[in-house]
Formats: sequence, structure tokens, C-alpha cells
Amino acid sequence: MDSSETQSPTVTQREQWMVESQVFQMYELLSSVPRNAQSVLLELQRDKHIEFLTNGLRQLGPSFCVLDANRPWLCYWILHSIALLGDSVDDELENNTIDFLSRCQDPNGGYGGGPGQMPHLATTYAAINALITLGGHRSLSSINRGKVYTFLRRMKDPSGAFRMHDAGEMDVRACYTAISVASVLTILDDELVKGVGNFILSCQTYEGGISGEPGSEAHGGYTFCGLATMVLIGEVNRLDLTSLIDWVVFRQGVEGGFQGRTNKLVDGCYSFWQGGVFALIQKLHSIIEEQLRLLDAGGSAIDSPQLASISCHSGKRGSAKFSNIGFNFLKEPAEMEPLFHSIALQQYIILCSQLQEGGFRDKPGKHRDYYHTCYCLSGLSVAQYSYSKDADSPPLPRAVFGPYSNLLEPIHPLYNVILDLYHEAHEFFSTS
Amino acid sequence: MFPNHISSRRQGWGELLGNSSLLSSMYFSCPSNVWHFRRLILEALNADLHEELNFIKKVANGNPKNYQIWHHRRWVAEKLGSDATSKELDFTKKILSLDAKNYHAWSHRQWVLQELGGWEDELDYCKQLLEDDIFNNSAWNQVCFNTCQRNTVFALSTLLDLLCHGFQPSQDFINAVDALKTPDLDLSDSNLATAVCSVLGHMDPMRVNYWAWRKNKLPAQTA
Repeated sequence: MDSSETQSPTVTQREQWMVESQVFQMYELLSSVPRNAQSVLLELQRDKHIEFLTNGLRQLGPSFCVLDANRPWLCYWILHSIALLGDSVDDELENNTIDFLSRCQDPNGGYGGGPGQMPHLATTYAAINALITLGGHRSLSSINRGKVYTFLRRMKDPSGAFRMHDAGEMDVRACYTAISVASVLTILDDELVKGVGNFILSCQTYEGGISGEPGSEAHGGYTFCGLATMVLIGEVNRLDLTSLIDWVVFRQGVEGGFQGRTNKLVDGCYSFWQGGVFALIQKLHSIIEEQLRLLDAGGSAIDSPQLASISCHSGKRGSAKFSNIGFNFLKEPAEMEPLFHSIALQQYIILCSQLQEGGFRDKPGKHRDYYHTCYCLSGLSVAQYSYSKDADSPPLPRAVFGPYSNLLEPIHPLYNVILDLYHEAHEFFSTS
Repeated sequence: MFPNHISSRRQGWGELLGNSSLLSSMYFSCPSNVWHFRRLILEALNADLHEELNFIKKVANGNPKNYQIWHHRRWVAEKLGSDATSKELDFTKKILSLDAKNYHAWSHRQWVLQELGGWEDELDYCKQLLEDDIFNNSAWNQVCFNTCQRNTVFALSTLLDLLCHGFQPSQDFINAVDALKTPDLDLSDSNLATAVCSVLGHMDPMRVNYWAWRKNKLPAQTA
């Protein structure tokens, strides 16, 4: 190529440079301001966030647009964020939310976007996670598990994957929402599981990440969904974990945060989708070691009888086989150090995604919203606990960016609910 | 499946398909139900689905990342079959000209190619996108998709030949073929060679008769 020929930057490059300059400006700002201003910037603005979040929940009253199908999601995003911050909502708000979500429940099972709306896997996932986050007998007993099971069976496609709703789209997201819900409610069985593994396997791309549908591009959201699902059904050994790791580590950019796909822009929400992948990987140490050993020995990374035995479920038949996978996963010690840069991620979340007036955003220049608030905080929690061997042992101060008071509550990385609240729900559903 | 009360209101349905601003706002905010209802009406009225594609185009303009719209588009295209091929490839091309990495557009485009065909110009299209922006990972993924799809037929036909020659397949092969089965295939195929023939008949429709003939002619002891 003629060396005097200069090519003008492509769209990808231009956009990337713009974001980088904005992000670095914010980092430079930190180093240029006086000490006391610095500590404000490094601090998690808890009160402001709680205010932003509680206002959001209050707005979901009858006056809110009745056609909005997002309300169960808003409940989950907001309640989970509040819980991550170590806070809770008052009784009135709690009861109103339980009542509202109950009315979203379809008589034939599953939750729709609002009362009278068609049940949908995404809103079912959101509603159930929201109810688990509220916790307590009233909330948990409002879930009709038998009907949820019927709904999940109806959404199951003969190919093995799940549809989001009647005659709806089939993708890895649908698989995750279905399996996650079934697992946490302890209603997961062979009928729901069969064929899911094959579908997700067919979505692992040449890059190593997982796509939404076979053939599509490797994507952070779907990679989390695919990996978590494979763990929950006890088939994670079938994935090529080494190439998945090779893909996900390069999704953390110079900004410190994560991009969703190769050569795309950083976005705060991937702090959880990609960061969560690392939290899961850390507990799959023995399977990864085995796959690496096979690769070194010249074999296929996924063709080993030992792998089948290391996989996460016991030989029991029926739902007993699956009902403790989520619970037992927590007991796996995190044998490896996190493979991502935890402090850099926390720095991006706190300095670039956090707004001083409350809430979190995708990146500088974007508006705050509840979705990003939820996933930035979830990602922050994952990062803070990434050096902890056990799921809930308190991190050392050096694992936390900014003051130690920035520490959030730990989560269960398979479901993205608060760990304590997961235990409460697990106890409730296992014994009822 | 069909709510009873609808049948008594057939006259008003045409209006419901129209482009009133109330309905437009419903489409953006209340996904599943309204689109689902629209599909019921379209079916009942035996509506012109080419017109529907135009309607979706208008709605998609401001909402290129809305799951419901893309799913609806797929539903319409599936009904129209290969009549819709060039329109769908044009539509996705247009969306990609505004955002060359739109995930929904790429998924839809792949679905069209797989189900309806139109592969001939695909690599050229990817080449052009990469000339515009060599860092467009979606275009790179599409190049791989192109190659892998074509190669899967080749790989399966090679497997079939091996099976006919007595090759004993490992569980990996069985799983791999299993993953390629689609719902409409006869799942009672207990033997791998017949399953491979069924899958090939589906993936390589040009030679569907040939694959059916191969299935009939399988040697007795084939796995």
C-alpha cells in the first residue's frame, strides 16, 4: 500500500475517538480538581440515587400510561437498584407493587406487561425477580408456580428453545428468562431443559461469544444469558469456555467499561452483562482447566468424559436434578483471580456513568434511565466482590474503588438478585 | 385462539389497520398485544401483506431497534415467502445504511437468506460495507455466516458419504446434527444418516429431490 496515502477515519473510528475523548476528559477532571472535590466525584451518591429510584416507583401508579408494557421491568430495575444500595421501600409502596404485579399475572400463567396484557417471558422474569427482591411471605406466595410452569411449557418450542410469547421470537434471551425463572422457583425439569443446550451451543460464534440467534454476532447480553442458562441446566461444559473467555476479555476497552460487541462503543449496562460473565467464569475453574488441558493435549476442548462428570448436576432424575444447581453454584469457591480489570470498570461506572444528581447512564452525553441504573449498579457489585473467594465475604478495601462506603450488596450472578433475598426465596420455594 | 367478540365487528377492522395516531402510539408502547391483535386481523381479512410491509417500513423508521416490529416483519415475510425476498433484502439494506451495525436488521437479513434465499450478492454487499468501514464487525460476522452456511451443506454431505462407507459417529457428530434439526423435520429419524439427509433437504432446497433420493438409497447398516 502506498505509504503517502492516508485513509480517512471510518465511522467506527470517529465514534470511538469521540467517546474516548469525553471519557478521558472526565478522568482528567478528577486529577485536576482539589482533594475535597475529588472525594465527591469518587463517592457513590446513595441518597440521590435512592431519591431518583423511589420517585420512579411512585410514578408507576394508575396515572402512568396504561399502555406501557415495561412496568414489571421498571419494578425490577428500580427495586433491585434500591436493594443493591442496601435500602428498601416503605410498606405502602411494597404492597402496591405486589398488588400491581399480581394483576399482571395471566390466569393461564406468566406475567404480562400490565393487567390484561399477554404474558411474556421477559416480563415474567422481571416480575418474579421484582417479587423476590421485595421478599417476604406475601410477595413470594403471590407467585402461582404451577401456572408459571404451564406458561413455560407453552413457550417451549419443539426445537428446544423458548419463544418470548405466543408465536413470538425465539432467541437466547427467551431461553435465559425461562430457565432462570424455572430454576429460582424450583420448577425446572427435563421437559423444560431438553434441547436448550443444543440451541445455545449453536449460538456460540466463531468469535467465542454467544449471539441471540444462530448466525448472529457475538453480543454481551446474549453471552451472559447463554452462559448462565448453560450453568443452570448443567451443560456449561459443552460450551467452548476458553474461546468465550478469549472473546470477553477483549470487550473491556481503554475507557475501563465494556462494549457489547467487537468494535462497538462502551456502554455502562455491559458492566453487568459482560462483568457478570466473569463472575460466572470464576466459579467454573475446574471445567476450564480441563478444557485447557485437552487443548494442550491436542484434543477438542469439549470432548471428554471427565468434563461430563465435572458438570454441575448430580445424577438424580426429574426436577431434583436441577433444583439445587443455582444454590450449589454459590458454594463453588472462586479459584481464580478475576480476568478483567475490576478497578478500571468501577472507575468507569462511578466517574462516567454515575450522575451526581442521581441515576446512571450508558456513557457521558446520554440520559440517565432505570435500566442503566440497575445494570451499572449490578456491574459495580460484581466488580467489588470479584476478589472475594466466597460469594458473600466482605471485600478487602483495596477491591473497592473510592471510599469503602461505596460497597454495595452482593448478588447471585446467575439470576441477578440480591444474595440474601435469593436465599430467602430458595428456602421458601424449596419447602412449599 | 380467536376471541369470540371480534367476529361481530368485522366492519371496523379495516380501520384498525389504518394509521391513526392513537394506534401508532400503541404500537410503540404496548408491544405484544397490539401487534398480536394486528396479526389476527390481517389473517382474518386476508389483507394485502405487501401493503403491510410498507406499513412496517414507516413504523420502523423511527424505531429501528424495536423487537416487536422486527418480529412482525418476519411474520409477514414468512407468509409471503420468496415473493418478499428482494423487498426484505432491500429493507434491511436501507436500515443498515443508517446504522451499519443494527443487530435486528442483521438477524432479519440472515433469516431471509436462510429461509428465502438471495445469497448471490451477499458477499459483494459485505465487501462494500467493509470497504466503507473495515472495523464493522457485523459485516465480518456476515462474511463468516455466508461461508459457514455454504460450508455446512458441504460438511454434512461429506459426513453422509462417510456414514454410507461405514463410519461410526461419535456423540459429538450426533449432537451437532441434532442441533441442526428444525421443528418441521421428522424427528422420529432415529438413525444419523437419515437425519443428515432430512437436514440437507431443508438446508439445500435446490437439491431437495436428490437428498430424498439419497435417504431412500442408504445402505442397510448405516448408523
